[in-house]
Amino acid sequence: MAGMKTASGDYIDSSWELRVFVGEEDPEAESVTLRVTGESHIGGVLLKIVEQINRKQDWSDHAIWWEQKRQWLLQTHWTLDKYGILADARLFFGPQHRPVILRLPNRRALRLRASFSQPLFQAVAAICRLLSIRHPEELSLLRAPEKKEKKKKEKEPEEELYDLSKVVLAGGVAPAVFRGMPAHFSDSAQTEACYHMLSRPQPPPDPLLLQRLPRPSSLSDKTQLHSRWLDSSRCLMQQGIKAGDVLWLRFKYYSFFDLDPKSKTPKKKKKKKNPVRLTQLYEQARWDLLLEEIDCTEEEMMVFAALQYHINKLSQSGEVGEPAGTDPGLDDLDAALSNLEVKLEGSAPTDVLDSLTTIPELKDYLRIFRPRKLTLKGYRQHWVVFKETTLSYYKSQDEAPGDPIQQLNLKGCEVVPDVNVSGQKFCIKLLVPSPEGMSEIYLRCQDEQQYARWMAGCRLASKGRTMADSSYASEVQAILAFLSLQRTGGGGPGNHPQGPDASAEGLNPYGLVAPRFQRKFKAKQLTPRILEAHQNVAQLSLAEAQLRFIQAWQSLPDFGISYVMVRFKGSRKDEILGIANNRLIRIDLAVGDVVKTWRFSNMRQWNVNWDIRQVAIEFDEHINVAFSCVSASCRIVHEYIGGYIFLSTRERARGEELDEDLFLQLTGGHEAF
Amino acid sequence: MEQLSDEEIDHGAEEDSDKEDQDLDKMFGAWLGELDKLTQSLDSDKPMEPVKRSPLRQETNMANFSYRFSIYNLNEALNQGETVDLDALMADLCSIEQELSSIGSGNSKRQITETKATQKLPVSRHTSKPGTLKGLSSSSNRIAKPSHASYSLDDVTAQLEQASLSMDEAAQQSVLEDTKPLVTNQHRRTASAGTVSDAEVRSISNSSRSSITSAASSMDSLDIDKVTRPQELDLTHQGQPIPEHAISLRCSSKQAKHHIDFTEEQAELTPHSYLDRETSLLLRNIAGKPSHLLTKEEQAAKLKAEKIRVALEKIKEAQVKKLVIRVHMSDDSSKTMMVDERQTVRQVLDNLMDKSHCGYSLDWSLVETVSELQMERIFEDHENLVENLLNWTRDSQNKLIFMERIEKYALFKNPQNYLLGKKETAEMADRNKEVLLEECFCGSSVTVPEIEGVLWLKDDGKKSWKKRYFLLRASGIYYVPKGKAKVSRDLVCFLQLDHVNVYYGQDYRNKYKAPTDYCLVLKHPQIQKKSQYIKYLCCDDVRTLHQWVNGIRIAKYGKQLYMNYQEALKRTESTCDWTSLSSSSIKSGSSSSSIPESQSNHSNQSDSGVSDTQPAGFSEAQLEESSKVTTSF
Repeated sequence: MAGMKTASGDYIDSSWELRVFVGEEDPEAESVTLRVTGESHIGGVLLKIVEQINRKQDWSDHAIWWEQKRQWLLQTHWTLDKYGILADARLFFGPQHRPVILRLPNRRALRLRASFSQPLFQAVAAICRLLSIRHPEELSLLRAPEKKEKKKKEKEPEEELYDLSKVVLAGGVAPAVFRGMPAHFSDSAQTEACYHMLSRPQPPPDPLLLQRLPRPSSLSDKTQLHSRWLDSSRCLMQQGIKAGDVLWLRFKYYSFFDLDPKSKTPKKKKKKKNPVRLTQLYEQARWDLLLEEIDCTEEEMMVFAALQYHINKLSQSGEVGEPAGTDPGLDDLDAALSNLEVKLEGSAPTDVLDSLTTIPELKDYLRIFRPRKLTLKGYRQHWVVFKETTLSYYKSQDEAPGDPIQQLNLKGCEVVPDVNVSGQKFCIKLLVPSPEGMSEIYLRCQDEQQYARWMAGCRLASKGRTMADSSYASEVQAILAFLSLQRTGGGGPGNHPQGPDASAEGLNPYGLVAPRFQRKFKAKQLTPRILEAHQNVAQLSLAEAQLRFIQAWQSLPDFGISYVMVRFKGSRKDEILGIANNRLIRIDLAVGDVVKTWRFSNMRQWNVNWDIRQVAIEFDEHINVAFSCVSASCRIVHEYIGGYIFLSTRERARGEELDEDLFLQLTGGHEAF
Repeated sequence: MEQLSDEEIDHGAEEDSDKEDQDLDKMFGAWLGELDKLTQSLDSDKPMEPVKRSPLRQETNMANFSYRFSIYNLNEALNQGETVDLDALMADLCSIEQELSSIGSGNSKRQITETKATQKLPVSRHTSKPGTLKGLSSSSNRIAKPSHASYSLDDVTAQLEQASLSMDEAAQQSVLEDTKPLVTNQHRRTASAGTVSDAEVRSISNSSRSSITSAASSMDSLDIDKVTRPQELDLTHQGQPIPEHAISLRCSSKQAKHHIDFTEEQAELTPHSYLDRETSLLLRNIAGKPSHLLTKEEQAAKLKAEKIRVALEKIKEAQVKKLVIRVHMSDDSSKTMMVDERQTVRQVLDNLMDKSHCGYSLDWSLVETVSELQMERIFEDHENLVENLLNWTRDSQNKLIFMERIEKYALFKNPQNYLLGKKETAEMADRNKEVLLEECFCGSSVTVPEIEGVLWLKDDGKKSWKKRYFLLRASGIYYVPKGKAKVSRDLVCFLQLDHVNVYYGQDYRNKYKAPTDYCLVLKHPQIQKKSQYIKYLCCDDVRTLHQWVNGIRIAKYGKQLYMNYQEALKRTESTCDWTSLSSSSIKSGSSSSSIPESQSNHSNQSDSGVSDTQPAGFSEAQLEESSKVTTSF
């Protein structure tokens, strides 16, 4: 035992005094002084510290942090000598888990306790477990951007800070599900609210706020984000993060494993109850698009807007579950067949059969407009009969038994709503294919009721179904509900930007599209286009709509490319290196054109020279590429490449276990192995 | 001996089909009349039009329960006096008729023809007329392979097999056949002998029911084993353990044939695992007691019970729209067949491959040519054939061609030429191809290849073409407006792909003064005539053309396309010999390690190799590790 003394008080062993500060790194922290020798084990030292502090407290999470060497002394069986600790070492006895504020993909802030001592990879895995996000290997943490000094002191909007710092998960066990959420969320109303925040899509942002938020204006702006990634193989403490710091949690690797819940039926149940990952991914995709991190065309933006609108509507109405998934067409067939059998046996009452065979029709006076070249004619009143999937119109009702002016089979046609509720305009535009080409025709209805009936009929007919279809009634209702939504949006929806909550009732298109479309279009131009796109997605459930959104995002050409500014060996100007899940792209900085693409599947090896900050990559056929990193450290590039290669090794059969060693092998390497 | 018997059989069949040709019109009419009667008896209050073809759907909307059925291009073909594959058509008609025969009263007309056909066979087998292999084989439109000489016997047997199976069963049968290509030898032998005698016994016992079972069994044997059959017959001569067969082949008395039939049916009882349940159930019922051994009461009771059940089946069946179609072969012959509205292109292709004995290949395609617009399109395997054909107009000159087209799946054979957006064709290792395909099609969303470049666009209504810079995205085809940069936000949408199909234009250099012959057309499938809604694009070279067409297919069909390919591959592989399977490129080469090593070094050397800085063991260990973990990167 260290600290043997003679009677005179001289130490006779080789022991020396070691000062350990208690608490987090703070120069004025209280300290204890211990008598130790070089052979003392860390475990013994810890024990002594606790004895000396002499306070009743749970010290189990505490460990010693060596400030100069920037490392935790976690190997309790190691001796001080083995660590190389001398009397001048500044040691802090502090908690390994400390609170941080996480900025989630949905831009909400959440306080929780993160591990400051484990490699970030493990720390993120623990956070994701707490938040019940599967596949934590796809996520990582970023430093929050430094706030720019603002000239005018703007009033920061008060923001709700969710708190999960009190929640501690038992290690190793998968969290049980309780009341439709992981059990640890159901402790209090607060945590429950937190789970709802995590698992449900957020309402659209205030358009004004959206315009104020920084957006990248060039490729080099897009490189900024990627310089802030933290290092996966080192702990938060080593990377200078302090308790209470703000960190961003984001999906880092754009290679989402097992995203589609349909692809794997046994897991479906679990996923239904655990929608956090899908929701957060949707949120990240949405913000990517809204903040113009990724470019898309007008048409694509309208689809994204329609999906957002639909998702928002579903999540507001609390309709999280999936609608009954029976195919109405199939039901009809079965019904018809069973009827047939009954009839054959001769015992069926005839009226059952009649109701089955009579197909409902619509007959009414509608105004019809057929756009033609060199015509000045406008809408004209016609007697219109809509039977099965065929639309016929006559001059008047009296002529109905005769030959119609025109007859159109709506099967396969395009149905486009042209509606302005405040203007009392209820038009249906039909683009009907025929052997001669497409015929365009507009039907103008008098009121919402009429419009809803005809519109529903047209939509069914375009899919080859008649109004006898079981979904007809619900379709009519859906259209009516939809119209009423527009009406409550007020005259000229969205002309004056409303708060995020107000847009829940009406449709404020500005919260759904990127600011450059806000500048390009007026709200009343946007609304019909979004509604037009909406009719194609109106039948989706919440999860399906989110998935569709993510898939559309994934099929954008620029999807999943992380940009880093680099300088290639032998080149004199900075260029952009794009890193995607399967390839590296050399991009011209000024023009944005792709210069060259290398695929990971052709890659033989890559080397990092930390001293001159250079990454060298060898591809098949002796193609060698070397570059130094300008905007981000070369270890971020290194980790991206290694990370993508790691992710490509994942397999379905392996479930959710992670080969952490392989990950660290592929991405680590700052310290030589 | 083998050769001899072949020719004899052939000759007999020839005569037979000649006669059939002569009174085909009469028979055809009679059949249709009977069909009419039958359906009317089923549903007396609905009128029925037996032969009907209407260009627009609303006209074909007949009563729910009436038998729907229509003919394409057949009358026209008859008028032109072309060689129609009447045999095949007859087979199809027989199948319908057979379905209905169990409901209505016995159909004497058909039985006469069948007897005629079958009675000839055993006779001709024993009269030796060498060297008459000609005639029908030229009109039968099989792609003749050296080892697969086309026997017209097949036509006759095809009739029998078709006659005894409903269309649906036939479709199922052919699927099952693919998965179980090997039937036991014993089984085959009995079956092939059985076809002859089976029809015979039917004509005697007047029980159409029994024919279903045994003729069904004859189907696979004759289709698969037409080459080996003679040997097998030979073998039975040489004292195989079934003495009845030997007898039957030597003497031609009716008694002996009865005998064969009996043994044949016995043999059929057990091994019907490849038949669908309905059929095998039926089989068991009747086979338990061979029909000619049943008492009259038993027979009647059984028939009555069966009738009710079968009638229900048939009515379900009758709701399915059927189409008689004429498929042109690449050798200018044509084949007439019947498809029902549920069949996908894949199923029809399988049928055609079975029927024409052309060998299995991925490249067999059904091509639609729209002659008025001079364009063509390869139907995708998952598409519904009838749905597509109903878009044709009544007087359409459009054709459906069954031919091998390498373009169909070239995308998957050499994905590097289509998916990487490169300008030049390149070779790629099989392993990398697989990786590429997996990357493109197996993720949570399909990656549409980045295809862009200058194409010529035809002006509406004029024969002039303008250059435009086009881009393909998942959401459609876009172009860069004049004076704008190539950024997403400024792109103008040219077309969205939901409602259009992509066609190859033919000889537009003459028709529309196109700058090159490499044209692609985008139009709604229902449009059949010149229209402003058809968009014509022209590429500078054939490579660009194929890249665009395949890119559009990927954007339009996505994962489905890859599934089609895998399905087709499965088909071909299951019919291939296992030896050729093992050498097929797709299966090979996934085992080698593929992870590039990560290296980091602290030394000042920058471009160091693996062995310089790290112990060699490290990289090896890692390789091992990674190959354990991955098969797919």
